[in-house]
Amino acid sequence: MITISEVKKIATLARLSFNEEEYASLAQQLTDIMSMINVLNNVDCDGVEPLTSVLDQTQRLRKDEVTENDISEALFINAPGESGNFAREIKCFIVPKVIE
Amino acid sequence: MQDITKLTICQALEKLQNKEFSSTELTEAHIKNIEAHKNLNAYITETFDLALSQASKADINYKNDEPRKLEGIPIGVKDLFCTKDVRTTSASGILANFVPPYESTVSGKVLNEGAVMLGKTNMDDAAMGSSNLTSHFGKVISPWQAIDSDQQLVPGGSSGGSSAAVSGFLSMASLGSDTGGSVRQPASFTGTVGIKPTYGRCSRWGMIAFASSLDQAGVITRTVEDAALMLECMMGFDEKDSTSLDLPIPELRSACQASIKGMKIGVPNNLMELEGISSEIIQMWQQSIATLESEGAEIIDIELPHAKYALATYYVIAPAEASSNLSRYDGVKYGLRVEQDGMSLDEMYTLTRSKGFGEEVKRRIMIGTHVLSSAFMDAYYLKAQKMRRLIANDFKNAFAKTQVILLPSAPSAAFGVDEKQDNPVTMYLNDIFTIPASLAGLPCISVPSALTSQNLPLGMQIIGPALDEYNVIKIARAIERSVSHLNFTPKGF
Repeated sequence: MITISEVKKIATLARLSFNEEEYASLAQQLTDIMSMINVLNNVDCDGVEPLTSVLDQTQRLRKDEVTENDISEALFINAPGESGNFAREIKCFIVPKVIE
Repeated sequence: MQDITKLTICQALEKLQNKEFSSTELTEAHIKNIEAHKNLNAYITETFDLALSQASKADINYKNDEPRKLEGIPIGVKDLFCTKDVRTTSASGILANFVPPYESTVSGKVLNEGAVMLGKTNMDDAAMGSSNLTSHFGKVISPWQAIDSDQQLVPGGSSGGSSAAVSGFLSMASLGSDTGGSVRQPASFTGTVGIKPTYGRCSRWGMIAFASSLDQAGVITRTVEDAALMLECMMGFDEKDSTSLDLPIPELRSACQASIKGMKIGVPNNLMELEGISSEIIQMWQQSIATLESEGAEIIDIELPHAKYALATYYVIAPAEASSNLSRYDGVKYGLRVEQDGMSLDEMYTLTRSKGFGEEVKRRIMIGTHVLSSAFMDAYYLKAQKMRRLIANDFKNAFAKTQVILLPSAPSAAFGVDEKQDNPVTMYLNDIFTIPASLAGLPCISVPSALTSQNLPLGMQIIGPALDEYNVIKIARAIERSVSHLNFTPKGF
């Protein structure tokens, strides 16, 4: 059972917000989904090594070297919102003030 | 005159080579079909000008007798493959105006082999869904309808635009992606072939991520041989993806001519008793078993004892990875930004994400955030990873005595776009047969195998051990041969 106040807490963690009606319906839906997931409790997995990757190989690391020249022009094309043009001009992403 | 859009890729390549028609003509014929069937909503972005310029380049290559492997073949590209300078949305509001400055490895490989891109195909929002009802750009309608019914049906999902385009002759193949069944289930719903190789065979670089330990590129075509050809052009090592397998690309097309005599085919009989499987699915399954046996294959009874826990395992792991992957969408550097005067950075994140993500995506972010939260991490996420090991081991044990495994692709035929599903779990059950192989990272294919009494297509799924795409294709081709008397073309197309 997932309560509305738990749903609100999860939403805050996920940086999402909903209206009251949606919180109530999410509480029901998440309860349904988690009860489907709870069948996992029927199986004893003690001593089983968790599977984090299906590959038998360890993940490669690449060399830390520059492979692209300056492509900032291309990257700033997608700078969002009203400040997008200014961002392209000064080549800095613009966000709301984060320090007083 | 013959309708050239009805040809398979292999047939069209031969005729292009013989100069029976040009790639420009083939491309124009497909554009005409797309224009005539706009109501299906199979494409999010059409790239006809680009397609025609690629086609004219292909025609020059044919003229100079220098064709590449897919020279001049018009295809669709699922809208989660980043395409350089062509809008790529993942069918999500949060990326609705995103124009990638780079090309995904897989789409780049296919285009470098001469394929012509007609456009970017529709899909479920962020590849989350089994119906294509969740797209920010509207649902996709299947070209298929049941006998004596005008009900609109879903094309499956998440690669629903790709399956609708291929089955409705709006492309000769369409790239797709498969996290829990997103290529195989739509192929099953639309009478097309859908293949996904072993995890690591196709580079994930430039594919918009859903659940990284499961995501794998795939392709939808109208024949097994076309699927083999396309896949050969998509696979291969890529330095840019740290999970890419550094192995030679297998030759797959010759599998279509190979005999299956003496091959061992595993059937997990315990899964035939699962609830909610339509009787016509069971019938198709038994028919396929009988066919393969009559061609000299040996049927082996196997068990996948933990497969019944696959759905629960998947709905912990996939949302957990998704909630982490999708945390990058914050409105700062690209995509949607929702802002108001005087708001804080956190408020901007929250407003942007709440507006940009669709209902299903938000639901999965919520599940993922919940199962990864410190209080539940061990009970759910770690538990699911352990269960994933048991499921993968089930397959390993089965492949000790059999070469491939035969399962249906979906528990039913396509359902209506208007069938209300109040409980999201009902929708999740669509992937019950496709998820086990996804969790184990195995190569698998869906091949059209039967038509229901309502004349709707059903697909069989063949799963192979890691790296054995060859035998998967071999068995799929044998099933395809055995149902050549059935017509998998939707009425009116």
